[in-house]
Amino acid sequence: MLNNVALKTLRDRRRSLFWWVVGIFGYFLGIGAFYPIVRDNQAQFEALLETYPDEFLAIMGVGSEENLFDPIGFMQAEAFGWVVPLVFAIYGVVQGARAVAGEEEDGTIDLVMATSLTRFGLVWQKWLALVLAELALGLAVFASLAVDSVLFGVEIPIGNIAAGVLMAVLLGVFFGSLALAVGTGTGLRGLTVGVVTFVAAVTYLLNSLGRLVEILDVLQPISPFYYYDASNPLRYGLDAEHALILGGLAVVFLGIGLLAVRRRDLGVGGIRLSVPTMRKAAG
Amino acid sequence: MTKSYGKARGVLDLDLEVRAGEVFGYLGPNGAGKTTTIRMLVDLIRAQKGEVEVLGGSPRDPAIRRRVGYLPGEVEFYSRMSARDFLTYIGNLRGKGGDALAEQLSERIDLDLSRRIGDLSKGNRQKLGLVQALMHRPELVVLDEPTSGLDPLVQQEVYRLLGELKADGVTVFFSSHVLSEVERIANRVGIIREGRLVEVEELEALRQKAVRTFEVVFEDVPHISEFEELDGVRMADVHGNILHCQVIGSIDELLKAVANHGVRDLVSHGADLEALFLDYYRGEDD
Repeated sequence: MLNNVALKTLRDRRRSLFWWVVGIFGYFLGIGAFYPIVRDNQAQFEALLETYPDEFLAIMGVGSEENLFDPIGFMQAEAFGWVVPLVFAIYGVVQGARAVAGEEEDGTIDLVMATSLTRFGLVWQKWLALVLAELALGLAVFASLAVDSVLFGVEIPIGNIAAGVLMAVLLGVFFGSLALAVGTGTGLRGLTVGVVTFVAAVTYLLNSLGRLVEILDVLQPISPFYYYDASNPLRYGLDAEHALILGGLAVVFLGIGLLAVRRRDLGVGGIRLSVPTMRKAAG
Repeated sequence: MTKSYGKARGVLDLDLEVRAGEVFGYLGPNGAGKTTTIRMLVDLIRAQKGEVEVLGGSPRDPAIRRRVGYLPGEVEFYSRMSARDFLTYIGNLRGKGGDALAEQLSERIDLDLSRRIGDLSKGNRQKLGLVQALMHRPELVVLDEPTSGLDPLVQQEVYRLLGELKADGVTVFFSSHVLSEVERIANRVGIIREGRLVEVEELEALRQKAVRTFEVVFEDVPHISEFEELDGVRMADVHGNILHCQVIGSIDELLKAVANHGVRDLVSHGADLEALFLDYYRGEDD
């Protein structure tokens, strides 16, 4: 695990990744156990849902036409509509921001980059680690849905699960790559988390409100969350075009990160413009 | 080369050549631009003007960096890793292991590689920094304040290691703000102040420039005119049979003049480089 930056990064993340996976399993087992109750008491739950405003359901990622009582609709409403994309996006933002900016702020970049590692190698291997970690989260979702299917009869075709999980992974990689680009360009972890979280929150709302307010639906396509589940991959399978848009943009962000790091000063506490700023490493 | 951070940071029109096989001491007060220079040597930061050449190539070239050992001024590690894992990782990134030498070095300087880096003392972390800088037998070693903040015992350890590198013909470039350690191990010294190189000199030549103070007690009472006109002698002062004076450079003339009299005692305070450096540090104006 110490052979290169990608494996070393995954090794560093193994503990936190383990707990993210545990959390995902816990959540899916919890709601899976809830499914038989919902299914067997459909009439009461329908009456309850009637009382919910559409706006609320939209924020939860549930379209008004969705059947919430079959396994797919249930999982869409309880997990893939909001928890899953948020978890994958947040994980991506945190890891993407830590990737390069974190090493710069911790000061560990000095010894790492004084070896024969290239800047290109550093950034792209950090990105690879991010993709692999998101895939691990995706596998956890996949595995816990398999358990739900066996234990609680939450049966969803395997291809559709794969499609839903893949879109979640791509969404996480999208935000992770954006954070990697911003962090690599600025060297500031905190700023990166702040900016990219803001972008995620705004685009999430934009997509949810777009489901409700007709005027806003023209804005939905600027939201990555739109590409994540507008095509309802859990029910209808993979929409290749949407997957390519998310994945393609992630690669573009990686490219920006690779370019950004080429000419920068590393570990100097932020992007260096012509304005003098504080500097801790000057001697 | 020039590297500016605005205000009085960075280095200005720095032109410096370090010869293969020499130990070069880079001396200057804190904030003078020592770390800036050193971080340019390993391509962590880049000059705005001018060029850095290391071992005949650019430090941007990974193959060049592989031949360099670097110890940062404030060395930071992954605190959760064990020291041994860290060395393995760095060795892998270099593509040039060095595990055997790392073990050997660590044993010699009494560094326990099985411990978590976060549990190591400052001195032991500095030792680890040195091991990672030396484990791949680099041709050039660049050390930023290698002994700062270390207790005297570990300092001695570092001096010993540097002495061995010197004997092995490894080129060493190290910064310091402590004169005594530069005096001890360097062949040549560069003095930097406010981002400008104010002096580069062989240590010996520098000593020649330094001031010695003399106190001579004569058998008889000499006249001041015998001494005050001599080359290099200044602030001569005779009180009864005692002469006080300072000498810059050669003391030959003074000794010959003194020998014209019977001498009861002679006390010399050796080349006071400290005073010389303080002059440089303060600048030529005052």
